[in-house]
Amino acid sequence: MFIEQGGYQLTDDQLDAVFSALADPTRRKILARLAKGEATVNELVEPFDMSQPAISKHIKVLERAGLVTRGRKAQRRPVRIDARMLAEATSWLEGYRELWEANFQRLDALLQEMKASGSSAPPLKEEQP
Amino acid sequence: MTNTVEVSTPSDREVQVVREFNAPRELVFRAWTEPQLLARWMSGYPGWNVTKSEGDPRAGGQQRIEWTGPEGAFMAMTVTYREFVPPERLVTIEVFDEAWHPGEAVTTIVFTEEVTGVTTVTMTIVYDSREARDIAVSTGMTEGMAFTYEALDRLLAELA
Repeated sequence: MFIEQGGYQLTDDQLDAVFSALADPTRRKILARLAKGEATVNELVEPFDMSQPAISKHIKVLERAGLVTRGRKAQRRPVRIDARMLAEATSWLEGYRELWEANFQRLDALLQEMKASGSSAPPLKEEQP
Repeated sequence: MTNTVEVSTPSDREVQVVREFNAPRELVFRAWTEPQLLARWMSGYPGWNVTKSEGDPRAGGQQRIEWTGPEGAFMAMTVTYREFVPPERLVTIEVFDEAWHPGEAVTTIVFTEEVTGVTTVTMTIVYDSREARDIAVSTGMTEGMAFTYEALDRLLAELA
C-alpha cells in the first residue's frame, strides 16, 4: 500500500520508520535542534543527560528513517535534517488534521453558545446550502 | 489552552486526535452525543451538511448520521455505543454505509478536565489493519472535496 502525497510515494516501511522515529521525545528534540542548523554528534549530545553511544543510537534511527543525513567530512561528519522526508510523512496526516480542525472550530462555537444559554440546548440551526 | 489539533499514529492500526476545549466536560460530552448537537458541528468539509442525526445515546444504543455534500454526494454512518460513561468516556463502533475501508473502526473518546472549565478530548480510532487505517485517513483528505481556508473563514463568520 502506497500513500501518495504530492507526487511522492512513501512505502509502508518508510512511513513506519518515520513515525517510530518521531515517537521518541529525545529524537524529536534532536530534530528540533537540527532544524536550526547542522550539528556534530558531540554538539547533539551536549543538552542531554545521556551518553554519546545512546545519542548515536538515536541518530542512527533518524538516519534509517531518512530524517537526517550524515556529512562526509572525515573528522566531523555533521548531522543534517532532511526536511523533505519529514514534510512528506507529516503531510500525510495534515489533511486529516484539517478536517478535524474544521469540525472542532464549529464545536468551539457551539460550546460557547451552550455555556451562554445555561443548561438548555440551543435549537438546531438551519444549515446554509 | 492549546486549541491546535494534534494528530498522531500510536500504532500502525490507529489514529489519535487530541484537542482542548474551553468548556466543562459535561457540555463537551453532550455536544458529542446528543444527535441535534452533534449535527451542529460534525459536518466535515465546507459544502457538506449533516442532513440526518438521530439515535439513542446510551450503552448499547445506536446513532445514525447522514451527510449531503456538493453535487449530490452522500455519506452515512451508523454508530453503536459499546461504552457510554458520561462525562468521561465513550467507546463506539462506526460503520459507514459505503465502507471506505474494510472492517470496523473502534473509537475511544476520553474527556478529561484537569483544569476546571478546560476539557481535553483524546480520540483514538483503531482499525482492523494498517491498510484500513491508511485508507480511512487518506480518503478523509482526498474525497473530491477541495478544502480551502477561505471556505473555513466564511463558516466561522457565519457562526460568530
